[in-house]
Amino acid sequence: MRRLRRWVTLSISLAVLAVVVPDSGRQQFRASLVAVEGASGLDTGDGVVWILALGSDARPGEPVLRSRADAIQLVGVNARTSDSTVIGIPRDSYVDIPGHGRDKINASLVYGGPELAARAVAGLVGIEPDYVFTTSFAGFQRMVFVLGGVNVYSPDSYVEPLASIRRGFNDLNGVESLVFVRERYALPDGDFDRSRNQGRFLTDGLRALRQRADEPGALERLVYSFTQHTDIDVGPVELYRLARAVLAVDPRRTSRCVLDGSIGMAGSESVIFPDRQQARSLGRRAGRDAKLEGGCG
Amino acid sequence: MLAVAGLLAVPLLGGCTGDAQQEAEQEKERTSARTPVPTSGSGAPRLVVGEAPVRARVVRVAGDLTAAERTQVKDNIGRVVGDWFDAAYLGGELRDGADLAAAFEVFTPAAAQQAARQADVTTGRVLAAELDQVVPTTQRVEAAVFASGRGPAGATAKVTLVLVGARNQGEQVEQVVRGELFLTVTTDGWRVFGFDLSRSVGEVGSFARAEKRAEGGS
Repeated sequence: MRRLRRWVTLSISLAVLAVVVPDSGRQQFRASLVAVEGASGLDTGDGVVWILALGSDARPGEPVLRSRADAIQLVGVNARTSDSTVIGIPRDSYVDIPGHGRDKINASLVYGGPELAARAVAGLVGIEPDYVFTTSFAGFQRMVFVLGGVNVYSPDSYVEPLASIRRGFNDLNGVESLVFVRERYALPDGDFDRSRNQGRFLTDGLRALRQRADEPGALERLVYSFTQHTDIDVGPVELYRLARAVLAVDPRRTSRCVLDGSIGMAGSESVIFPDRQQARSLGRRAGRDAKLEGGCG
Repeated sequence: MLAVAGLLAVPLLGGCTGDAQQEAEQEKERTSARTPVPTSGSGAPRLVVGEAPVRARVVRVAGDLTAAERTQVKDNIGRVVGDWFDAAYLGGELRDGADLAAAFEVFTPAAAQQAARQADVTTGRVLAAELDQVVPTTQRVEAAVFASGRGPAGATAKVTLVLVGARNQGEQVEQVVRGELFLTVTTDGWRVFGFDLSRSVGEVGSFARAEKRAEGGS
C-alpha cells in the first residue's frame, strides 16, 4: 500500500438506545429497567478516505508493482457515516496516462507503478486516491485465507478448472476467489461483469472482515498478517487506524458502480472507450461523502 | 462535593501483575466481596465498599513483543484507561458543568470532540449531580495488541467499569460502562482514537449476576 497524501481527520458518531429487563432481586434502586445507551466515535480524519485497490497480474518472477492491473477498483470510505462507494474501472479503459499519452488504464501500473495508476484514475474520475493498495495473485489468496474464506454472491453460474461458481452465494477459498474476480469469458458482459464481480467481492470481503473482527484480537491479527503479505510503505500506526476506518463501513451502506463505456479499437487493440461524463459524475457525487445518491448514471 | 471513592473505600487488591489464572481467581473473590453496605448515623448515609484498582491485562498480541515490552504495554494502556475512568467518572468535577475536555485528555483531539458530544455515555455526568459518592468496584482493561517490527502500534482495549453510587436518601445505584477503546501510539504515548461504549444504570449487583450467568452459560 502506498500513501499518496497525508492522513486527514475523520470522525464517526453513533448512538443507540435499548432497554432490557434485569433480574428481579433486591431493589435498592427505583428503576426496574436497565437503560443501556451507546456511544461510538472514530478519529480517522475529517473527510472520506479513498483507496485505489489494484490487482496486479504479475506472474511469478515479475514485479508486482510494474505489471498490468487486472482489477481496478476505487473505494471511498466514510467512517463517520459508515457509507462507502466502490467504483469499478474496466481494465481496458482507454484513457490519458500522464506522461505516456493514451493507453489502456491497466498499463499505467507498468509505466509508473501505483502512483501513476492513481494519477490515471484521478484524471478519469476526478478523485485523487489517498492510498493505493496493490496485491499479487498470491497475496490476494493469502488474504482470503486469513479471512477464513469469503461468502460471495454471483449472478452467474459457470465452471472453471479451479472453481465451480453457482448463481447465488458461494463459499470461496483463496483459489476460488481468484477465479471469481478474474473470470470474464464466462460472463455475459465480459470485462464489465468482471469489474462488477470484483466490486461484489470487496463488499462481501468486508462483511467477512467485520465478522472476523468481532473476535477478540482478530483485527490485530488481520492487520499483522496484512503487513506480512502486502507491499506497504504506510506506518503501522496509520495502517491500524486505516483498518479501523474500513471496519466502520457498513456493507449495507455500500454503493457499487462500474464505469460504462463502448468497445472499440485503438490501432490494433480492442479497448473500452469509457463514459467520461459518467466518470466525472460519479467522482463529483461520491467524492465528498462516499455516498452515491442517484445511482450509477 | 462528590466524595472521591478512595476516602471510604477499602482497597482489596494492589498491583496489576500476576498470571491470568491468579487474576481471574482474585477477580472472583473481589466480585463476591464487594456488596456495598450503607452506614447509618447522622448525615447522609455513606457507602462502605471495596474499591477495585485498575486491573489491566494484555490478552493477545499479534506480532512480536518481548516480555518486557508486553508488561510495558499493559501498564501504559492500563494507565491511560485508568486516567479516563478517573477523569470522566470518578472525579466528580463534571457535576458542576466543568469543561468536558478534561475528561478526555487521553483521547486524540478529534476523538475527544466526538466523545464530548456523547458525554452522557462517555462520562458519568448524568448521575454525577445526584450522587454523593461513587466507588469503582470493577476497573478492568483487556488489551489485544498489534505490534510491528518497530514495537507496539495499536490496540483494542475491552474495558469494564462498574461504579456503585449513593444518593442523598441512601438509595444505591450501579452504573456500568463497557465496550471497547481503540488506541494507537502517538508522540504523547498511547492515546484513544476511537470508542464503542455502552453505559447502563441499574440495581446494585446486576453486573455481578450477569457475569455469573454468562460464566455459567459458557
